[in-house]
Amino acid sequence: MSAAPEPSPAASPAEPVHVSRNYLNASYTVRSWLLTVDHKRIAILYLLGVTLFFFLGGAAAVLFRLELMTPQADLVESETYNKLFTLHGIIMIFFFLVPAIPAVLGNFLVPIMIGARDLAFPKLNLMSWYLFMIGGVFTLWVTVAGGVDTGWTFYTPYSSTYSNTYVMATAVGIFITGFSSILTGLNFVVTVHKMRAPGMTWFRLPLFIWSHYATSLIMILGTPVLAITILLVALERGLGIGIFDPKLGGDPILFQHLFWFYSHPAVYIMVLPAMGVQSELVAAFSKNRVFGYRFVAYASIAIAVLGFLVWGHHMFVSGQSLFAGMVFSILSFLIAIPSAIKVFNWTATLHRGTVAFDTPLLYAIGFIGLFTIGGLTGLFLATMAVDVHVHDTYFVVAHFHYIMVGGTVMAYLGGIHYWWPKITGRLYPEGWARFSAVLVFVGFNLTFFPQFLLGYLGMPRRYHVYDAGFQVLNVMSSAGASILGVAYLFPMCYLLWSLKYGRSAPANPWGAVGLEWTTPSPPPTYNFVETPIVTWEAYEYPGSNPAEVAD
Amino acid sequence: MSTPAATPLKSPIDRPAVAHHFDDWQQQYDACVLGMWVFLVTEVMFFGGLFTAYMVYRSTYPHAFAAASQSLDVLWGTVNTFILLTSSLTMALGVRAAHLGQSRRAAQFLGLTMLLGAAFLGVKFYEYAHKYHEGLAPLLGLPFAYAGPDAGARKIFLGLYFGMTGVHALHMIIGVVLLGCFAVPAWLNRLGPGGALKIEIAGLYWHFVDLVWIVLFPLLYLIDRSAHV
Amino acid sequence: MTTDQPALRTYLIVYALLMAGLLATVGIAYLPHGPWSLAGALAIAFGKAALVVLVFMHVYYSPRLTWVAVLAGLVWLAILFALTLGDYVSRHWTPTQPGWTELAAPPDAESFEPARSASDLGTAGVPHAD
Repeated sequence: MSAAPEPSPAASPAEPVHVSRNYLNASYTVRSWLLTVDHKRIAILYLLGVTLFFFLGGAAAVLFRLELMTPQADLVESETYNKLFTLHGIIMIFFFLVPAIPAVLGNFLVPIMIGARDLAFPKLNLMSWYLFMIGGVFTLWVTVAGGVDTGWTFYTPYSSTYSNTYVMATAVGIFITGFSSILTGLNFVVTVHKMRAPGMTWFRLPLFIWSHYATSLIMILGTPVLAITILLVALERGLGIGIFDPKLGGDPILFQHLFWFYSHPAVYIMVLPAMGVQSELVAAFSKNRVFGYRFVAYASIAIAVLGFLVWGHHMFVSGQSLFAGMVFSILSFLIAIPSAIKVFNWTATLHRGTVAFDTPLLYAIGFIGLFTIGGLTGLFLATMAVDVHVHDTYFVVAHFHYIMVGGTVMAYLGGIHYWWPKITGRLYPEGWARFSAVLVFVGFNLTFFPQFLLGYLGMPRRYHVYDAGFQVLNVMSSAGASILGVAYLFPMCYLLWSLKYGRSAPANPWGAVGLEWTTPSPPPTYNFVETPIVTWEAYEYPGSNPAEVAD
Repeated sequence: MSTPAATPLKSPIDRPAVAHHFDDWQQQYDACVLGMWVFLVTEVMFFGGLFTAYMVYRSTYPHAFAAASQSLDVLWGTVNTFILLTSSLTMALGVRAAHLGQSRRAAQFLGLTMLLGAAFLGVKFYEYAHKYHEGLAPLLGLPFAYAGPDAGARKIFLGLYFGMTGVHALHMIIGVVLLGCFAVPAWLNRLGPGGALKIEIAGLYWHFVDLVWIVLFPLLYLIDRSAHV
Repeated sequence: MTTDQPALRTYLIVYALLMAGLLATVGIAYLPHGPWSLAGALAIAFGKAALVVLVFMHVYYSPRLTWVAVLAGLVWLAILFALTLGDYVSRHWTPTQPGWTELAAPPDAESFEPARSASDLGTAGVPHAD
């Protein structure tokens, strides 16, 4: 039981002993965790934080899926329902999906994968966790105090003028959390530029690093715009400076422009790191170099850049100019290209590899299927005429859950399983893990596929009273959600169990390549005994695809 | 240079400057400067949201913006621009002195920069108070002195004025405090090799705040002055 | 690194240029230039900003990566401006799509500025101008 951050009874720093010291047993005091500047410990702190928020956001989902079992309002009234889906959205997006992979797996792995001893700014990294938790506390306080009902999108003028719920406190929470995201992105960019080990050239970097670099660019360039947008809403609500106020001649759609300038790229903040995890999993379990390494690397950057050019596709029916809508529509189609490159290249990697169906790969294969469905339905939504039909229906809800839950959460769980032995030094029970991976896949599809049908038939999102004809599909969805809920609880149980009872993990349990597997499990505080000197390409498995000839 | 009084506790600046996770000082220096630039890019985008709102409304209500702009005092705006540009010079000279190892000199320039920054803020708050007394502060439902046909758009202009200069002033306050954090150790001659880096980085921040004002000044104070002379 | 610092003279020259820019920007604001006054003001502001960035902030003497960071900030700012403004400029190209200024107009529409017509925006080639 080495990973739990409980203090030893004797709350004094352990004497430095040089035998099998690692980052977990270096010290046991609470202080050594709360004031740590070790990127690996901060990753564990983030893991605790995002897990808490994941189950909180999940609890809100359980409640409204229960409500949606029947066409009438039985369990909660309208106001409560509005608060439930708002809470679900805010917590899942800002406090789980955005930080989950970068701040947990990225924090742990980025320095190790490039052969560095830590991120460039360890104290900023710790500060980022504190900002995240302070923002989270604001949100928890809002939850307890009475909630907020604007939806996670905070559209004006409802949010700035009319809503009588805790909009300001929520805005403050998200504003603060945004800075935690900015600091993480800043740290990753500087680290990847300046801290690579000797010989670790850009095209020797694991694709996990490329995708995290691309993610960091979005965090840096997009998040500040969300911050100022929220600040403007707060100024309007709190000080009466009416920037978006139609009574003065202001334009509420301007809010949507500014909001989606961040919040569409934020979708790529959520899914790009998942794609990075995906590349690692596919390579490791097919014992093969990722097919078209350079294309996958460039595709990450392309997604990050193109992601900033498409935000208007959220606004086709908002009153935005039709011509702007056309431009945004065309640009949205373009982003399918780098996404498809990645999917095809992962498939090709599997095709030519020696595939082992361990748990992480099960999640990775699930990712490929679900992400493809989510991505293709995204093309439907980027088509203006179709979007007018399905806008604000469950079709949209199903689409983005296929990307965010089917994509990001699958990859997150796959990554947690893949690196669990490295993070904790313990192996988890493989049978249970495979069973839950399959259960997640089944539960997910049962939950969200019916929502495509519901949306196409015309059921609007964000209503809890609906036409009786939609009940069968809603009951299917709620049944799937209960399976999904159980399937998410399983990994928490057996992973915690493995901390105490799991077998000790060797340094490289999967026979994978990559610098993180050359250091002991769990790694020592400074990651490597000696700074590694890299003389090999990424994913250099024996007999794998040859590396593209370096220019 | 005078050596500081010997103290039992060594200031952190006196310690070897290379942090544990860097290979050498050059790497640490480059990483810190790059980190500051990346942070400044986030600041550019932060102000970018405000400028977007300004752009949209100015292009929509050009006449109301021009009319409302006349209520700002060009003289004070010019004085403040002068103050801020001068403070950028003193900041740059302070950074230069720090790099040349002239610790006291750097502290003097930093102090001068802080003074100029405080003067800027003083003028700014005087202007705010003046707007308040004129009844041209569209805040908190205060009565608005102008009731003409485009009062709404004029309120938006003045709202943007308060919003943009307010966020800018907040950055100035942070900047003055930040410089204070480095001016004192510099005066006490406790700046090791890490000190010049810190002053360099604080300087980047200060210059950025100056940059924002360089753009804000003509956009807010100087709209169509010729038509209203 | 404590490498070559720009000479004292360089800083003073830049400062003199900044002061000249300040005078120029105030001066041309009072000259009747019509639509060019905004362009002039922005050009001068951009020139002053460039001086500060290149010399006071040492970008001219910095590695290429710093240039890239500066340019990235400008490019993304341009994306934000261009795509947002694209919406506002083209809203009135469609005769059936009212702009928000018309929608928000109270019964006595005179108390609001009239919505811009396409000709104000220099969009003569657009098929449907209102």
